[in-house]
Parts: sequence; structure tokens; C-alpha cells
Amino acid sequence: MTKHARPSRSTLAASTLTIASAAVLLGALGAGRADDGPPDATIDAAIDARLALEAVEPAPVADDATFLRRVWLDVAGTVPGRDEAASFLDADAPDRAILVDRLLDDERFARHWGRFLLELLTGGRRAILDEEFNGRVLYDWLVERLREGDGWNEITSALLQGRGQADQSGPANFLLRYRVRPAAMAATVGRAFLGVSIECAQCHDHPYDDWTQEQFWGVAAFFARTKLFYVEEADMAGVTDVRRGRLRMPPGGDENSVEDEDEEEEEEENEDDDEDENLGPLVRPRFLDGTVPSRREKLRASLARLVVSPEASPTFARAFVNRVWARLLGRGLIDPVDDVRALDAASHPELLDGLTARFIASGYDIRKLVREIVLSRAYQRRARPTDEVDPELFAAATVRPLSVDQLFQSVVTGTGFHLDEDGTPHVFDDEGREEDEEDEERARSEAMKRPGREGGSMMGRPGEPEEGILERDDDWDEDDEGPESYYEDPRWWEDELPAEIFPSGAGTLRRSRAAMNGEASHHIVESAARFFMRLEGKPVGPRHLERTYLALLARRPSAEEQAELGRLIERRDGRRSALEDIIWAVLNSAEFRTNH
Amino acid sequence: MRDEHQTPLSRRGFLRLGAGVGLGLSASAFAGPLGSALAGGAAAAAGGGASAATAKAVILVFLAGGPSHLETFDPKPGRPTGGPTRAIDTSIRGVKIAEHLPRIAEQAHRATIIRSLHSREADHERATYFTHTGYLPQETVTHPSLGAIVSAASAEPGKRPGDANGELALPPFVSVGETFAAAQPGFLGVEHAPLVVPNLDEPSDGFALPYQLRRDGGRRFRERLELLKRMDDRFGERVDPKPVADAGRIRDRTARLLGDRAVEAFDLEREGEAAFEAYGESEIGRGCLLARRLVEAGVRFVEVVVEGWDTHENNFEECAERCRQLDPAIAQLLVDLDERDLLESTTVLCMGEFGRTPNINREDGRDHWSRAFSGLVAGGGFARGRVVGATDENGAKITERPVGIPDLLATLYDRLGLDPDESSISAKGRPIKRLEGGEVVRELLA
Repeated sequence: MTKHARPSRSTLAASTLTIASAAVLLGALGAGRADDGPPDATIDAAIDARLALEAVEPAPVADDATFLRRVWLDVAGTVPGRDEAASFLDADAPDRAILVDRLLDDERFARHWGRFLLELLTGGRRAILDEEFNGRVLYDWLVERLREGDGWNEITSALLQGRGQADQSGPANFLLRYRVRPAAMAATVGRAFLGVSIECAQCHDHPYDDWTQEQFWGVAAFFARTKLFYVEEADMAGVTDVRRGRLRMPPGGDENSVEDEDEEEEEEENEDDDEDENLGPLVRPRFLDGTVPSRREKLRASLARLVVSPEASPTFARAFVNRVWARLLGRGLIDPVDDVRALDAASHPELLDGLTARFIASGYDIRKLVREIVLSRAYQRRARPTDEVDPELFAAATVRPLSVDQLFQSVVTGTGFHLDEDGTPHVFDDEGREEDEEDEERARSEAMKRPGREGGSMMGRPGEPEEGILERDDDWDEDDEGPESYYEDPRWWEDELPAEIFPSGAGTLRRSRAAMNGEASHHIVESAARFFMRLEGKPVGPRHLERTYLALLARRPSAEEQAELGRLIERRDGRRSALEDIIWAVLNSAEFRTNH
Repeated sequence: MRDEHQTPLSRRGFLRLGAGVGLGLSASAFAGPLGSALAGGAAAAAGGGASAATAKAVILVFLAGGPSHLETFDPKPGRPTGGPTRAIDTSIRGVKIAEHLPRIAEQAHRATIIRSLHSREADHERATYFTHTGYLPQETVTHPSLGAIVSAASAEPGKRPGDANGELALPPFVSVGETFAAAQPGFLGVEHAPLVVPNLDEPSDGFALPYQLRRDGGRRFRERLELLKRMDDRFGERVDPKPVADAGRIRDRTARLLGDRAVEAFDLEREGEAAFEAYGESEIGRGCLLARRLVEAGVRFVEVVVEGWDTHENNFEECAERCRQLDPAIAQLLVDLDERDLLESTTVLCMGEFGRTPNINREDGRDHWSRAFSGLVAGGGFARGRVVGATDENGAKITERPVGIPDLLATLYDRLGLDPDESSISAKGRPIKRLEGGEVVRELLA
């Protein structure tokens, strides 16, 4: 809702977590197979064994162009763009492993997977300012952790112990997202880190579930001494720990039923009025496995230790591995991904087990996990018609809609949208515009001849100079939009623009209208056409077509496409309008809008 | 300062582009026949007895943030909790509302005031979800909002309202203003997501095709669509037809909408100056005017979201200011609908996610209070000129006829002829009722 803007900077030392304990567990699991042969053998051994058992013929491995686009989108969050696509496809022997390693080292890997983690941790918030929660600071912190190659255990541990002001600490914003409410934090610890839904037990013991209300509130109580504070002068929230503090289970177990009046009164009552029945019983910290924290350790330090401990939290690593698999293959080895307790519910239990063991042994290395999966044959297969596929066999690739950020970054990569070092965006530039003057002049004069309200060239009113989309808005309301420092950060548009250009969800009328007829879309189409014509010259011809396809679809047009689109170009005498129509159609096509 | 050389993309700039791109269509009688068909149908239904559907359309004016009941429909002048807010007479004998709402007071006989709404949710996000769905948020399922439920019901064969030839390009559910996650379709699927009109300054933005795509009877736009369709077909053959067919359906719906003159309904410039004056030149004024136009054009559910009611500070001035905009908008909406014989078939519901504390805090504000709050409901078979429920002298506790959110929704569904017990299957294969619990509140009915 209301957005306040704040500057961003993240500082928080990652906490440490023993990799030794991981190694112990690895031994316990007898995971000697982790080091047998190349890593992809294990994935494919398991997947192929099941396929053989069910007598299902898997789809063949996809061609280079398909793999190229898919792995770019999955690892780096964007299509490769024209130059990258051409150089990979034209290589004598395109090497997929080298490509993957290069993408994993690319800054875009950290940014794309940072968004994945942000979404996981916040239940889908974007990297922007939102009341107490400064998503930008949390996102930047996550990206930095990924860049540095921190393990998921270290990242988790630091997040759970986040403290400080919203503009200073990434992890603090993880707690601020939930307003530091113990019950919300308990639910999130279950969902995001352990892959279990314990929040059903918040209000009562759940009849179909073996979590008890006591277990739920036991986790919540680890946050009993963690408080949200406000810095009035800075109009900013933060997280801190107090020395004393106990948690009461609110009446009915529902903390949201507590009106947020009289907060001080409540705290006083906590101190001296234990008997008041209306306040609900005191709950004491106790982890899901029954561990009670030591008095010598801070509550959240204990919690962090327990969450990442393979003994206390047998699902911690598995839940993450399963989520990453689901993200890359379109479906988890355990599906849905939010209850990974029962290993035997997995489509390939031994594979999930092995992947998890290797993940732990690697020091919870996210890059290595992604690498192993995307280099497997299971990942590299072609897609084929849905009705011929039992999804849990992973016999073929699935067609997955692109996220808002993948769409946006692909437009950026494909159409030349970029920022200068000083933060000036360069996409809808005016170059080449004069040369097209005749076209527009004709359109304008036609428009002027028509009666009434009908005016308007493609983008502007008749007779008015066409305004670029980047025109500064003089009516900018500073108070409403927050401090300038937020917008001085050249990356803010990466967080806010995508949701504006591609609003709401895939498949909604809102997004489809914006993509087909939104002002931003028309601008993107027009400027991409100008840009391509500047590079390839006039009139529009086969080279423009090839550039468009390579830039946005990472492949060259087929003979059929060349013929059909060639006819359109001919009909329009090689004018820009033909290229615009082609780019518009490509940008709206299912092929562009999905990963497949 | 941002300087000239460092020009960030402006969020607003985006919204403003395209201002002035007119629809280029001549005035039509489009709304007329549809409107009367709607009204006619409703009149027939109303004659059929209390249990038959009386409402065909709903306009939900959602006051986001939680409006103070004490400064709107339940003032407590003279009490310490009442603050400086005075009460004025309404057209319902013996009933007073806050002084900030003089025009609604004049039109109160067309509506029913509810003073005993209550819930247990005092958190914006959760309470907004609750008021929109009747369910508490759950991790594993997203419930459809009211609007999506109406959309799904009206999409069933034979139920498309006021739609003689089965060709209504406008979707049944439109959301005006900033949309909440809570207004989403949940497990009913994205086809019942609202069509969102984010920009009330130019609500027809993005509906009208730009001139170059529109001229010659939209020839170039059709060519683009043909191109796109062939690309998608080829891709479907090569890869997987199913997701391509899904994309094709939404593409075709969008194309139909963009090429249809029904989008005139979004063009507020077709209204005269008098209408803007009557509704008030404000976001909510424009929103309510647009809602009326959309209902006339056959839209089944319009949600108008107006933010700014979270008055933790400076409650009294803030409320007075908000009410200055709310007052003419709601009053004129009731008058307009009634004069066009649409109020009998259109329910107008005006409320927020909760009320505000009777206690006035140190910032001269009020905090969240969900134990007792107010709303206004009119039309579509709801009573006229009535007050339901009451609070104690402080506006803190309900003393008469509590109306829970599920009760209110049950009553609304009853008027729409929708069975609250009807189940839909969630994504996980679990049947979920439209509503769990909730009794029809007879006192609210005409």
C-alpha cells in the first residue's frame, strides 16, 4: 500500500554454522555415492530407472538453442540476447557445462536467485519499500550473500538473528516483513526453512496434521524477546532484542485478534499479572524436536542453530533442495513443496536423499546444487504435449510462465534497454526518429483530418512532439514517493517497473491488456524497432528478422517463418511498421512468455 | 535533487502517457438497452418472492485502512470517545450520522446503515482478506474474493447478466483503483481476476487502441493478432498445445475487449460537467461515477478501492477531509442508480476492513478496532431507510444485532441468488464452500 522510500545499505556479518555437523550426517546417511562419478549421473540414474520401470520413453535432449534460452532464463533470469545467442549457436561445438559455469559466475545469477530467496522469505514481496519493510535492503543483502557464495545454512542463520534498523540490516527486514510477530515468524520458519506448514496448529491442534498447538507456540516463543522499534526522526522501523520477555498465547491462539491499542499496558501486565485468564497461558520456547534452549544462549541464536542442524531439523536441507528442483523442473520431487516431511512421498526418494546429502556436504552451496541439476539430462529434455506426460516422471520439460522479472530482464536484454553508469536509462532513445518523420507526419495529418476526439499518433497527440516514455514527471510528489535517495539508486526501476509493465499474474486480463496495448509496451516495441533498424539499416529485411528472433527467442527464424514474415515486410515496403508488428507479436507470444 | 541528466523513469509518467488518446467512437446507445434489460430482469425477479435473487450487480466501495465508525455512521457526540465530531439528522427519522456526511444524510432513506459489524481481525492485510472472502488467510489455499465469486457465477452458461446475445466484451469483475491481493480470484483461477483500472485520471488508458492500430477499422491491430495467433499455433504444435491454448484464450478475450465499443464505459469524458460536480472531483468521486457506468454496461461486480482511512494520527481532520470526498460520491451514486431504476438490482456496499478505537491516542488519532464498526448497504433487495445494530455509548461494544462479516456476505450472496454452501474445488482438490458459517441477516432485507 503506502510506500515510503528509504536509502539502502546492508551490513550484517553472516553467522557461522558448522559444516562439520553436515559431514557427520553425510556419513550417517551412508552417502558414499555422492562422489561416485560425475554428479549428473546420480540424477539421471534415478530418473531413468523410474522411466524404465514405467516403460516411458523420455523426450530427447533439447537442441542447443532450446537449452541455451532455458538455462539462461533459469540461471541468469533473462534471455541471452542476440550476441550471446549467436556466438553460442555458431560455435563449432557448443559446450553446455562451460556455459553453465559462466552463468553461475555472472552477476545476474546472484540477482535472479536473490529474487527467488526474497520471494521465498517474504511470501512474494518485491524488493521495494513497503511500510516497515525495506525489501530493497533485504534483497541487496541476499544478492551479496549469493555473490559471495555463502551457504544456505549461513544465510538462514543470519536471517533468523537479524537486528538493527531497516536501512542498515538485510536480515532485520526479514523480521520486519512480519512485523516481528512471533506467530507469523513461527509460521514462516516452518514454511520457508523447514518446508512444513505448522501454522495450521496456531489456533488448535490440527485434526489432519501431527503438529500440535504447543509445538507451534513453542517455536513462536523463540521470538518472545524480539521487538519492533521505531525511530521517529527517521520514520523507520528496526528490530532489537530485550533482555526479558515472555510470550503468551493469545485467546484462541490467534495473535491477530489482539487489537493494537494500549501496547504499553499489555507489556506491564505481562510483568506482574500472570493470573489473568484473558491473557492466555505463557508459552515457553521449545523447538519442534522438543529441544529447550539453553539459558546461556540467546533465544534466536538457539533457534538459528536448531533450524540449520540436520539432527534437529531433518527437513531443512531437503526442503531447499526440493524447492530448487521444483523451480528448475517445474515440479518438486515432493509435490507440493510445502510439506517435505515424508521422504517416501517423493517421486524419487533416493534421488532427493542423495541430492540433499550432496548439498549438505558441499556446505549448502547453492551454485553447486543448481549446476548439478541443470547439467542433468532430466533438465535438458525437450518439452512435449502435456497429456503425454506423467509430470512426476520428469520425462519431458514443462512449459513454465516467465516471472515478471524474467519478462522484464528479457525485454531489457533483447531490446537494448540499459542504464548508463550515472543511472540514465537508454532504451527509448530518439536516434533514428527524424528519419521516420515522414511516416509519422502522414499519420498525423490523417489523424487531423478526422473529426472529433479521434486524434493521436501512435504515442502522442497530433501536432505535439512525441514524448519519450522517459520524460521527467514534473508533478512528482516528493512527499508521497519518499526521499530522493531511494531513486538516486539506479536500480530502483528494476524493482518497480517490471510490476508496472507486466502487472498482476500470468494469464490475467490485466497483464494481457498491458502487454498488448499498454503504453509501455508500445514504447518498447517502437524503440526496439528503431534500435534494430539503426543496427541493421533500412529497409527492413531478413537481417532484422534474424536479429529479432535471436534477441528475444534465442533462435533463428525457421524457413516457414522467414517466408511468412517476409511477405508482411514486402507488403509494407520494408517500413518500420512491419518490424514493429513482428516485434509486438513476438513479445506477446507464448514462446517468449514462457520458459520451455 | 534529481537533476535533468539523471532522469529516473517515473511511475506516474507511465500512468499519464496516453492521456488524451480518445476512444474515437461516436456516442452510442450501448448502455441504454443493456441497462434497461438489467433493470427489467431485476424487477421481474423482485416480484418472485424474497428468496429469489434480487441483486444482479454489486458495487463495493472499499475504504481501505479502516474508517472510523465514530466519524462516519456511528458518532458519539458528547462522549469522551466521541471527540469533536458532531452528529446531524438524516432522512431516516431519529437517526443521526456524523456531520461530515451531509449529502449521505439526505439520501439515507435509500440505504441501510449497519452499526454492528464485527470481526476478530485487527491487522490490515488479514482483515482485508477476511472482509473480501469471509475466510481467514491460510497458507495452503487462497480463497476467491467476492468479486471473483460473482464473476465465476455469472460466467456459468445462461447466467451472463443483461446479455441478450451472449456477447459481452467487458469482464464481469472490474476493480477500480489500487487493488489488493485480497481482491484476487484465488483457486477459482486467473480468468476470474478483476480487470483492473489503476488510473482514475484516465480510466480508459490502455483500453482504447492507439490511432495507428485503430484506423481503417483496426486493420493493423487485426494483422498483429493474426501474426501472433500463427506464432502461437506453430509454437503449440512444436512444444505443447495446452499452455498455448490457455494463453490463446486470454489473448482472444483481451483482443475482443480492446476492439469493442463496450470500452466506452471506461471513458469518463463522456459524462458532462454536471456529473463530475455531483460526484465530486476526487478519486472516489470518479471511481463511483465509473462504477455506475460499468454497471450500466453490464459489469456484475465493481470494486472501488479508496485508501487513506488508516488515521492513527490526526484522526479528526483526516476523517473530515476523506468524508468531504466520500459524501457526494456515495450520495450521488445512490441517487443516480435509483433514478435509473438500477438501485433495485444493484447492491452498493460501503465499508472498510475494520473500525477504529473509541479511545483517542496521543497523536489525536484512533487505532484499529474490529469489535464494532459500521458500514452502509443499499439496493439489490436490501432494506431502505433502516439502521441495523447499535453500539454502546462509547462506540466500543455492540449492544444490538451483531453482524459478523460472514453474516454480511451470506446476506449478499442470498440477494445475488448464490448458494453459500456451493463448493468449488481448490487447487489441491479440496472442496471449499463459498462461505463457511454466516447467517442471512433478515433485518437487512427489504
